[in-house]
Order: sequence, then structure tokens, then C-alpha cells
Amino acid sequence: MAATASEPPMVEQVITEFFAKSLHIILESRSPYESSRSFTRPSPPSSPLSGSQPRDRWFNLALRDCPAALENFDLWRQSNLEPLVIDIVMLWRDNPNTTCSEGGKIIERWVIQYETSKPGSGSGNGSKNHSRKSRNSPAEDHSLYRSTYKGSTVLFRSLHLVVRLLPAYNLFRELNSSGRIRPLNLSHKISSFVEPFTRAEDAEMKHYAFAPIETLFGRLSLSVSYVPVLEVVAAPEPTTHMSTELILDYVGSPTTDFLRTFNSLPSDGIAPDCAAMTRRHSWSIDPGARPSVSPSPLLHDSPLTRLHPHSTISSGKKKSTGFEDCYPSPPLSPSPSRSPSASYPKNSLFRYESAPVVIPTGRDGGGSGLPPSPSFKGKHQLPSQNYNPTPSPDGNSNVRKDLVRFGEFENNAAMQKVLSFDKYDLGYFHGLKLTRTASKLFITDELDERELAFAWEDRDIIIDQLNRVGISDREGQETNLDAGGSMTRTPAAAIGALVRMLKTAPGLRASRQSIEAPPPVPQESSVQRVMTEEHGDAASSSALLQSKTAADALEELKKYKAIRESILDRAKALPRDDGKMGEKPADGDL
Amino acid sequence: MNCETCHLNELELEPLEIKDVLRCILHTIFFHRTLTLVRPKDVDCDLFEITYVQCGLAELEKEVDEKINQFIAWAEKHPNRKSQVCLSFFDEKNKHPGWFSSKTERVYWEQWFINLHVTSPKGQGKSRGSKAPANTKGQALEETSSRRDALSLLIQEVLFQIINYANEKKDHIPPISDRIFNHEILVPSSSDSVFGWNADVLRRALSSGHSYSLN
Repeated sequence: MAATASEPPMVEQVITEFFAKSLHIILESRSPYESSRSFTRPSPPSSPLSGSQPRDRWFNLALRDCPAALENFDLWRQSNLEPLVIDIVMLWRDNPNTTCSEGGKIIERWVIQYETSKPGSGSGNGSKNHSRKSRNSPAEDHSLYRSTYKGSTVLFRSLHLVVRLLPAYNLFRELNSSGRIRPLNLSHKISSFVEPFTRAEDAEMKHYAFAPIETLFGRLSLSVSYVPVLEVVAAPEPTTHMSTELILDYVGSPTTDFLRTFNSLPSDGIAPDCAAMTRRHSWSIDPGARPSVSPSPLLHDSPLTRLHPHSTISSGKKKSTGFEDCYPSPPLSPSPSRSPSASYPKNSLFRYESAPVVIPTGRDGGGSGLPPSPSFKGKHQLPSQNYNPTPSPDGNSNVRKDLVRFGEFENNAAMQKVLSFDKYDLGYFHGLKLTRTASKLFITDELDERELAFAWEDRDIIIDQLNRVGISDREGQETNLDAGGSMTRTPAAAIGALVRMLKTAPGLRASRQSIEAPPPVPQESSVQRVMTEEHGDAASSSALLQSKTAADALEELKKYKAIRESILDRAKALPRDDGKMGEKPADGDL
Repeated sequence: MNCETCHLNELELEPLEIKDVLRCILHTIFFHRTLTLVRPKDVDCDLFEITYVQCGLAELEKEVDEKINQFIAWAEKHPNRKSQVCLSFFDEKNKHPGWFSSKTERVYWEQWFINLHVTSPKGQGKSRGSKAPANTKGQALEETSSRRDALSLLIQEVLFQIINYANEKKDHIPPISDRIFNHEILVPSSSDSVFGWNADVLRRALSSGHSYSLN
């Protein structure tokens, strides 16, 4: 890999390593750890010398492993005469509003270059270099090598710092911190030519050039063009500050009545400012984080819900944000004796909603063999009934458009954990092939196809989670379920059956298993996935068909849609009365 | 050997911020002038949105912290004063070989002057002991936040000042050896003059560009 025939071999080697080290330093702080969110960087050895790689010795700067940076670097790098151009690209995941072409925006461009000074040109490197050219003894070569090496050593220390001072570093850290799934990602593109920016891009960028390193017949230069302020959200950050408020009814407070309503919980249709922070928290995967309720009903249609609350990445390094602190108090578990914490799966992808739903199984409860079918015969929704800790703000429809709930049912503890995410979050799971297929099968008319996704699996019992908001005309049916354990197939049960059929499809099953992988739970008997649609549909269980064809599935779907429409019609016909809606635990477990 | 000097921009800061600011600046200089093999350590400022880099040498960190504590102690006794912290690098040479073999001469080759103006926190005396209204406290917090944001930018400017200087002026740096360069950190002491900084620092500032010995 000769740079020029004129440079001494030692200097040539420095030039080659100069490119490699630059690439390593830059990508070490710009290339997120894709392989694993739980990956933690190895702590550096106590001694600078211990564990250092041969390449670390170059320029006396030991770096962390960064395989992406140096993989086959020596092979694909053709010549030191070619510039090395590293574009750092900010990508949006599944964001249709991305305005940038090619799916990303270049936020930094690093150009590392070895520029030769043509003999006789008389310009470029100054008299100092010209005088050097007249000397070429081995001693002078060595002196020049030392000078080049020392200058490069200093420069790489500067580079190591500068990559941490630029705004993209904050984004990089955000992406790597705590394993949260972000709507943004960083990528890089390495090339050997400088693709010119558009005029607008160029105007937006700032430029910084390091002092060049002189060599015998040229010089090494390193420069960066960067976007000084990273606007990472389409919508501005909410500016309304949440006022500081003492929450007297916090969980655990001795003054808190288990059955009282929580004043600190958001009420209908307010607190839109919580949307962003809620989104953020909905993806918190801190394993030790205490469960907290997601005020999801407040999140409809806000563009912020899909975006990180930071509007400007430069603020991302703050150790705490206001959003972290103004989170509403979580609701009270109605059954403290059955804490969900003991049985939380360790799946780092999900945050489990704080309100653990205690649903006894048939075996566990009164022996009826039926699930604790939630009923709506009660005229008042018990506030402690954490199926719906907050009243639905949606009025008649009572559809939480953005919320899909998955529950896990565990027979032994009779515990159900519910987690929630919205349609944008589903997008984040695209790589996992979570429920896209299913969601397309279960589209409701007024919703975007991605807004609802169902994943429903049951073995012995179908748990009705669709009782967040009741529809009064279903009381009879619910009562019937409660009293006699009717095996009548309800619409929701039809859904369950349908999903059960579909889950045998290889793709869906595989994806579900991938999601469930971290908590190895016996699937045969103890796990149920329950999707809750806050539409007021009730559900119960019946014997499910074990195998059906696709035609059967389609038939089921049609039936479901027909039933659903009739329910909607009836719901519209009847005036809504929140006060009459409620649910009552069917099993007296609470 | 010439002694290169770099006077960094003055930073106006409150006592609480001294440690963060001085750590950031001193370690940045050390990082640029420690040319032995280092495994860099990223450090976040406590009060500012800045990540800087240390050499990862425990002894150096300890030394820096000790000097900073000395400076803080001095600043507490001398409020609202402009002051300087000087970081110098030097070579040691035998002064008169054969005569006094124990005597060595320090040949300073680089000095960094960190200019600070430590101010008293605004409103500290007035609100102390009294229950200030919530909105007043909120305003004070907001002021502090905006002031720190501004100071954060100034600190970054100083860091770039260090970067530029460290890269432009490097011919005078001694050859890389297997140990860090000799250095000293001078902070004002209680015996100092009314100028608020050490007489040695003053003398060296005046005599920069020349080698001199201290013993």
C-alpha cells in the first residue's frame, strides 16, 4: 500500500496507520453496538499496557475493540493517496416523515487525506517541507518519522476528544444507553471520494480542520463537517412544563386507601405533555425499574409519541430530564399479596405495565373451570380494579387506538402482567417480525392497520381483558358468563381461535418465540397472551379448534367483523354513561 | 529550548463549579501532553454537558484533585477574585555536572495558564435563612441553568483552544519516552500577593520563553 515512492517506508507506515487509527477512533464513538442491547463494554484494564492490541501501540492510544472499524481495513484500502471519507448518517426507524433522501441524514463527514505536494509546484507545503525534500539521509528519515509520529499522536488525542465534543456523540450515547429502542439510529458510510453536499446541507454544517501533519512529500490532514444542532424530532418538544405537584396518594403511602381513586392520575383528555415522557417510559427496560402505569389513553395521535422527547440531541447528556420526574404516580395493585415482581419475565424488550392484573384461573379460583370473566354489571367502575386504572378518555368509542396489550398468564401465581406499546412501537419490533402479519388480519375499520395487533394464545382458559370499558347492553351476556360459564363463542373468543390457528404459521410462531425467549416459561400450560382491545367487547373462552385451514380463518374473520359491526351499531345507538360502566371482579379475589 | 505559553480564555464561574471546570481543563491538557501509551477514560462533567477525556492514570487524577482542592480552599478565602492556575511541563537537567550532582535545572518547555474568575453565587446572601417564594427559587434555578449552559459553551471553546494549541505547537515537545513528562501545577496560595496568584506564576509568566531553574 505505497503512498508514494518518495516517502520513506517508515513514514509510509505511519500514513497507513494514520488512516486506520482515525477510522477506529471515529467509529468507536459513532457506531452503536448493534449486536446486543445488553452488551456492555468491557471495562478497561487498570494498566494502559495490559490488554493492548498491537494496533493500540500505534500512536500510544489504546482503544476499545471496534471490529466494524478495522475489519478488513488493510484489504479494502487500496491506496493511501485516496482520501478516507466517513459519513455519519442519522437514520429514522420506520418514520414516514423522514425528509432526507436515502433514508438518512449525514450529520458528520470526516475526511482523512494524504496530500502530496508535487515537486516543483512551489506551493502547498511551505518552505519547511521544501527544505526537507533536499535531505533524505536515514537519520533525517528517522527524524522525520519521529516528528510525523509525534504529531499524529497528539492529533489522535485531539480527535479522541473532538468526537466526544460534537453533538453526534450525545446521540451515540443515547442509542447505547440502557438498551432502549430508539426511533433513531446511527450508521456510517465509508468511501474514498467526497460526495459534495447540497447547498442547503453545506450551509447547515460547521467545519473544523485539525492542524495538518507534515511529511516529507506531503501532509496528512483531518477535517470534519458536522451539523451543530441535531434536531431529531419532527415536532417540537413540548414546552409546557408540568407544575411541581406533591403526590399524596402515592403507592405505599400510609394515607392511601387501597380502593380510592388517585387524584394524581391523569384524568380524561388532559396532560398531553405526558405523551412524550410516557413513550419514553414505555420502553424503559431497566430490569430493576419499578412498574409504573402508562397513561396510554392520553397518547392518541401525538407525533411525539413515536419520538424521543429530546428535541435536540445536544441536551441528551443531561443526567435527568424533567420528564423523568413528572411521571404520574403509578396505580395501586389491587392485590398486594400477589406482587408481579416475582414473576416478571426478564425480557429486556418490554416494560411491563405496572398495574398487575390479578386473574385467577379456573383451577386456582373457585374451580369453575372458567376464567374470571370480567363483568360490566357493576354500575361503577371500581377504581382499584386495575384493568383500567384510568377512565377512558375516548367517549363513546372507548377505543384506545394506540394501545395493544399483551398479557402473560401464569398459572402458578395466577398473575398476569400486561405490557403495552403503541403502533409506533410496533414498528420498532419490525425486525422481530412481531405482529405485523397478525395486525393486518385484525384491522378494525377506523384504525390504521398498524394500530392494532393481536397476539393471542390460550391453552386452557381465555382470559377476558376486554372489560376496560363496558357497553351496557352487554350486561346480560356478561352476567351469563359470570353465572354459568357459558361456552358461547363470543367475538373475542373467535379472535382467540383465529389467532390460535394462525400461530401455527411458522413465521408468526417463530417471531413470538423470539420475543418470549428471555423468560423461559413453559408454554404448554402456563402462558397466555392476551390482547386487550378497549372496545368493550367481552370475551370468554370455549374449546378452541386445534387445526383449521386458511379458509376457515378467513371465515372466522368475516364472522368477527360482522359481529363487531353489530356491536358498534348497538353501542352507537345507546348513550354512553361512564358512571354505569365498571367492572367487578368476578372471583372475589380482590 | 523555548517555553511555549498558552493563555486560555477566562472563565467566570462559581465556587461550586471550580472542580468540574478545572478537572476538565487540566485533564484535557494532560491528555494532549501525555504521549506515552494511554488507555483513555471518558468522563462526564457533573454540572456541564461535556464529556472530556482523561489519561486513565490514577496518580495523575489524584494529583489534579489535590491541586484543585487547594485552589478551592484559596478561592473560599478570596471571593470574587480573578486568578490563575498554571500547568507547566519541564525537563530536568543537571545544573552543573560535577559540582553539585544533586542539583538539577528545570527547563520549562510549555506552560498553560488557566484564567478563572470565581464569583459569589448570586442572591446567596439574601435568600439564606429565609424562605424564598417558590417562584423565586424557580427563577434562581432557571438562571443557574442558563448560566451553566453559557459556561458550558465557553468551556468547550477553551477545550478547542487547547486542541488547537496542542496541535499547532508541538515541535518543542521533547521526544516521547516511556514516562509522562515532568510537570507541575501551580495554584494561588494564601501567601500570595494581592494579584491573587502565586509569585512564582507571575515570575514565570514574565520570564516565559526562557529557561530558568527553581530550587
